[in-house]
Amino acid sequence: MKAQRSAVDARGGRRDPPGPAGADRAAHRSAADTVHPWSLDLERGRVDTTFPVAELGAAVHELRAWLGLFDPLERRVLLRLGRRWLGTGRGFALRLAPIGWLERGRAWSIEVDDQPDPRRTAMCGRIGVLDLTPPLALDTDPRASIEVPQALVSLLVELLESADEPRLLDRVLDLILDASSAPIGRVVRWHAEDGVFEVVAQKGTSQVRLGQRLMPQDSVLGRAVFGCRAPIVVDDFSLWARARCARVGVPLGPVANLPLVAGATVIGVLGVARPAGAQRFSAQELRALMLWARLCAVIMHRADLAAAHRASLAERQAMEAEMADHLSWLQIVSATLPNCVFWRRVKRAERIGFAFVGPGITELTGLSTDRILADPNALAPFYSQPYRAELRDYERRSAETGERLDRVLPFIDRHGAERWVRLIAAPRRRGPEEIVWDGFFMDVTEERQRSVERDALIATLQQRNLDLDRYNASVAHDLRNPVLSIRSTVDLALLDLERGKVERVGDRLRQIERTTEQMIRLIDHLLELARLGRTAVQPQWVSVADLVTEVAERVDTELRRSQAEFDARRCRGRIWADPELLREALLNLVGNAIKFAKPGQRPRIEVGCVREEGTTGAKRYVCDQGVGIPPAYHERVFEPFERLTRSVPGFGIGLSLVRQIAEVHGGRVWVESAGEGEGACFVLYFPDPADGGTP
Amino acid sequence: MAWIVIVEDDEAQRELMQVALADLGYWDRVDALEDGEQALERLEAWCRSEPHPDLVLMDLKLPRRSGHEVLESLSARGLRPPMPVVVLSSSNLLSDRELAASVGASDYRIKPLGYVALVELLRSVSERWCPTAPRWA
Repeated sequence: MKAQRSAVDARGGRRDPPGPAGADRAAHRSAADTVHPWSLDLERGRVDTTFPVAELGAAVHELRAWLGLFDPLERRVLLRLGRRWLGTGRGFALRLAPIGWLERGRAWSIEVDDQPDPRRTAMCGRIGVLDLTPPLALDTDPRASIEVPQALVSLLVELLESADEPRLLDRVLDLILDASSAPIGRVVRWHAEDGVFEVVAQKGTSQVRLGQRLMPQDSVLGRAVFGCRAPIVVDDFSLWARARCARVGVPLGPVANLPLVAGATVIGVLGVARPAGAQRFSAQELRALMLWARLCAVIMHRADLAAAHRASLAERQAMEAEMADHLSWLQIVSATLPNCVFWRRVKRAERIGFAFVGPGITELTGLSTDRILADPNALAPFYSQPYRAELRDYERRSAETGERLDRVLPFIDRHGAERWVRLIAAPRRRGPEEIVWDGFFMDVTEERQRSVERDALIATLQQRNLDLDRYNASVAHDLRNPVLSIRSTVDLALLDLERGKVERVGDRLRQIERTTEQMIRLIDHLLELARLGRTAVQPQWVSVADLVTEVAERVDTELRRSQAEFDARRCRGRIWADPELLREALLNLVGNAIKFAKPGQRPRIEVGCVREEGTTGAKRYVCDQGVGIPPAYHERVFEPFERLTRSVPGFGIGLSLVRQIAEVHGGRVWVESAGEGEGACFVLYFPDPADGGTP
Repeated sequence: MAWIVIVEDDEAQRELMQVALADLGYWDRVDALEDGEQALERLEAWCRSEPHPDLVLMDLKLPRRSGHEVLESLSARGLRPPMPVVVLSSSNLLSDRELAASVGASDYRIKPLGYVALVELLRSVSERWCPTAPRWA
């Protein structure tokens, strides 16, 4: 065995191309060394049955050489090199030759050649095809190996060494039939008379000509040993036999196709043709042929099977081409659609993994597509834990239910930033144990952001609508109230007239006059407020001192009447604002400061402008020493129509106007006051241009 | 002695109500308050001790504290006015009605326009909320 191994090693380094020349050399060497990696070790009854597919060509030739060594009749070795026989002996020599008409050279014929023995020139034997085709794609996968069924090899060894051929032949048949599935039944009879073989199988009580229903995929052996599911395609033996007989110049007697199939490996014989009137095969020869038939090949052919197979092959090739087209299309789409990754996930039995993933994934994850194809869980870390579990559950569930997935999930990208992807997938079953999910995911982060912004905008608008409703209600109320007041005064005046209190009527009329004036002012304010909402802000750098001077001039009368002290010394610098609006705001604040002075006290009003460290806007303030505002009202005073007192004329609109002016500048207004009687300081914050900060 | 309190910030409306109530002839005592803060203070006192008025008519839109806030503050302090408090408002908004009901107002009426309508309303409110009031109809 050791010698055998070293021969294997030695052969591993050989680079002879497969072919007759290489084979002949191998045969020659095997004859010289009497050990061969793909040969029987007759001494030990062992065989090295595994060889690499890459060396299949050479191995086949070696097999041919090995078969050439075998003389079934005398168990003598016949050696042949090319057309030259090196050994002598009676019986048949076997020749293996590729059969071109089988697809991709996946089968080899074994011929029983009468040439080596001149004494038997009148005989023509034929043994069909040995197909060593395993389920592997021999021509594409050089790593694949072929396993020759050890049981058959053992029997062969035994046959070679035993004289009890019929018994062994039965065992071979049993083995073949056991390995085959039910339709074969048991071979009960075969005979060879007048040069014709016939094998009949019995199943139940009926006898069946073998071959009618034999398909290799039915074979347990074929599945167990090779896992082969493809039908064996062999051409019509009788045609072949005819051609062969014509070549050797003998007339062809009756020929029968004689199928025996064991799985994927065809190991049978087809038939024997002999010239009419020629010497008959001896019983021993026939047995030898039969033996070979069962050991080496059964050719079973039905033209329709071959045609069907070829048709299905063509169909499959067309489908493969179509799929390749689709894949290529998918790849193009996947590569060109921005933020979109197509993928295909496949589950075969318990294994699951990606079969395709678009190149866009690299952009998102930093992982190469190869890496993702190699590792089925490569993408898992990019989903956060709950979603990972959800996706796993979905995969498990949808395999049964066919449920589609359409989810938007958070996804951590290559930079660790959270993004959002929309994941769409649909499962489909391909075969009993295979499920395929075709899907894609898109980076929808920006859409989602837009959607969040849109929702926020909708919420803001809804709030604005509510505010507007409330505002309208307030307006209605505040417009109705003066009307009610006027009507009440009118009724009071009428009652006075009725009841003889004429002297009070004049006061009533003056009251009505005041109320109507108030109402006009209220309407003017409302119009002003509405105008502000429509006017586009036109900010510019405004000199604070100039503006305050202007304001002071506008309220000069009120200031003098109230004898107010007006201090604007701290107004310095510039402020980024619409001068007209800012003037309006200041007028309101200064006006309030005059109106809400403490009774009997000379108002003191300070207007200033400061810029604080660390902020980029200007605060402008108006402080007074007036009646002050309790903290509870600090917010409410800016609401429209909110008034803290009726003792001072007004409508509660001025401060809401100030607030609106501040807001349209991106700023804000607030009041600082310790409470009633403590004075108040209204602060306006106007940010500098492009400043998003707060004061 | 029939005692009623009105809370109304507008002077003319307040006076007309006082006249109308006097003309009705039923109410012996009519008190008038001008803002929400006063109303809260007095109502709180009446919640805690006798004597108290038989009926309060209160506007919603009041200076310093709205009518809603007055009632809300009372209930926040665990107090419940011992007399019916009828809201008299110029707002016909459903939200204002619901809010008033939720903070414990007994009734909600819209301010009428003019003396005659006002007298009619005051009659109806008196009949509804004061068992001792005469049935004018």
